[in-house]
Amino acid sequence: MNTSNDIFSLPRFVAFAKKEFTEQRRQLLLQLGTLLGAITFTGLAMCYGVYQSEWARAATLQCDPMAFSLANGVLERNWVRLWFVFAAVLYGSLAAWNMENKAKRIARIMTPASQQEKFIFGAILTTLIMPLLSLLTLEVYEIIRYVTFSYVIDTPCREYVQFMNIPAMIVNDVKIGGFLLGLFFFNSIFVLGSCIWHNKALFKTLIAILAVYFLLISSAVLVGVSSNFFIKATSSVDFVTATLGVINWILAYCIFTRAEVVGRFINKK
Amino acid sequence: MQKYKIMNNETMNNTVNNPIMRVERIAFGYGWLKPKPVFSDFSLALERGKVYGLLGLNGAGKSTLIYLMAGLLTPKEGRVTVNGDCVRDRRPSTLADVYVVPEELEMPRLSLREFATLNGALYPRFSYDDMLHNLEIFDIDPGIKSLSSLSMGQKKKVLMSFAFATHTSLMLMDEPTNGLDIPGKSQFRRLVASQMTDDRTILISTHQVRDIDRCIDHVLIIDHSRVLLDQSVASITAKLRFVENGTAAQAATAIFSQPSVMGYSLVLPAGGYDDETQLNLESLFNATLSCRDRISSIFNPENA
Repeated sequence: MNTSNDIFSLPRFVAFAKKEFTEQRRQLLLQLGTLLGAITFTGLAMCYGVYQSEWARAATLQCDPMAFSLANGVLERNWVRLWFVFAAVLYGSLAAWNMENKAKRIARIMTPASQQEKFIFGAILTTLIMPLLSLLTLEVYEIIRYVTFSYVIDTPCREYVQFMNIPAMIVNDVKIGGFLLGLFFFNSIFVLGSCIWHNKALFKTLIAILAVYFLLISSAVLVGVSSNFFIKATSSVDFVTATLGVINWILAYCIFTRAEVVGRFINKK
Repeated sequence: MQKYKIMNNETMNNTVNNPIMRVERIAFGYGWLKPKPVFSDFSLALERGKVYGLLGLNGAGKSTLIYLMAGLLTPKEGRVTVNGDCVRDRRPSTLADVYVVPEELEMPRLSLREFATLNGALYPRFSYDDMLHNLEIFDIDPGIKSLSSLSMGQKKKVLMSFAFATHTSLMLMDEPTNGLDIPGKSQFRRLVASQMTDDRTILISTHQVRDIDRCIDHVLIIDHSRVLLDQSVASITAKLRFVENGTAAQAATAIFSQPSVMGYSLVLPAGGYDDETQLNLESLFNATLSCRDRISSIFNPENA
């Protein structure tokens, strides 16, 4: 292995990624299995409830109630969106994974790969690979849903149950840009959280978000910020979201490279 | 104001030829608002081809020093270098030349072969055959299916076998014999002895002094920011005598004495004797802590 390149070496990156994947494959598979179980259980329960209550409209429209246009669009599409936000949040919180105790931090920091390679691996894993694998779990869920309500569980809507093309549903969404930007933002917050808190990052980041949210709201109330401010902020929400997302990633990188064996994450180098 | 006369760090470091590691005037403390200082203006150098025993009281900073030496912690001031490179930069080339065997460790749920293949790929000088040889010393079967199911002692044996097979120039070991069974301790000494080369430096931090007193060739005793003793075993045994069954009369003239089941455990000046005695690390450690001035004056007469 050539270690002369101290920033990035593809063979070393591949060796590092292979090591990390192999060492954690059981954990990753278990996480995916848990996600599939969770979405299947809640999705089937929700679907059953919809099929029991919406059979009259299904008969009128001659289509699956999950494809009805509800308040904000197709129910199944909203369900998929929500699922992706959840996956982005969950996997974002695993960006600095495998560093939750001293022994693991020593092993991770002392592994002969560059800081950039370690960070890029975490970023690719949590923002690309795992969400794509989550998409696979969605496909599996859709097959289970279709088979369950077409052949196993009898509901008043059995004859209208249809198999939905989830990737097409996402790609054809007219608000796909804003949705992806939102995913990027939420993911970046939890990536930052995982770099700050190596242990229980998901919960600690959620608490931090709530704390910051209430702090901002109460400050705005105390200072007496006009409603125009919020209207203007909402109109430029895409720009603000993108900027904050990039800032979160930069901060996450800086904190990640300063990680230490004892939880002192802000140090001069 | 320093209470005791101690050995001068800078003087000592200047005498080390071609050091593999230099700890240069570092300051470090834990905590944010009111940091609890562990080291201030602390310097040290490690020479190539030596096995160092690092001793100190609980809380003296041994593990912290190892973390600083490995770049796992950042000094507030000063710097630590390995082969001239700052360890805190965590360059892959530096990381591939330093191996840390921590006191507590976790192993992945992999077979030994998978673990060695995946991790060995990141160390340019790793040898699978050498690892098998090291495992043989520890009497460990290389056909392990899951490393995570091993006991702590077995995990340590496996990790040390792997660590030595990486052929890194610097090996930092924190309490390596903790958790090892009785044969494991002598096997560890055999392993260290068999793996030493002129290019490799090993630092062993431990409280289990009897586990290492036959395999080290240099003693470092630290107490927070001070190096109380930094001497080769040859120099120590040339200047001090260690007696296990001393008499009360001998105890009266000893640098350090402590009652034992066989009489007195003594540390005496070596003057007047032709033969050298075997190093007793426990007595040396106690003597260095309780009689700092005398020990210092023996090894560093110009400061006396």
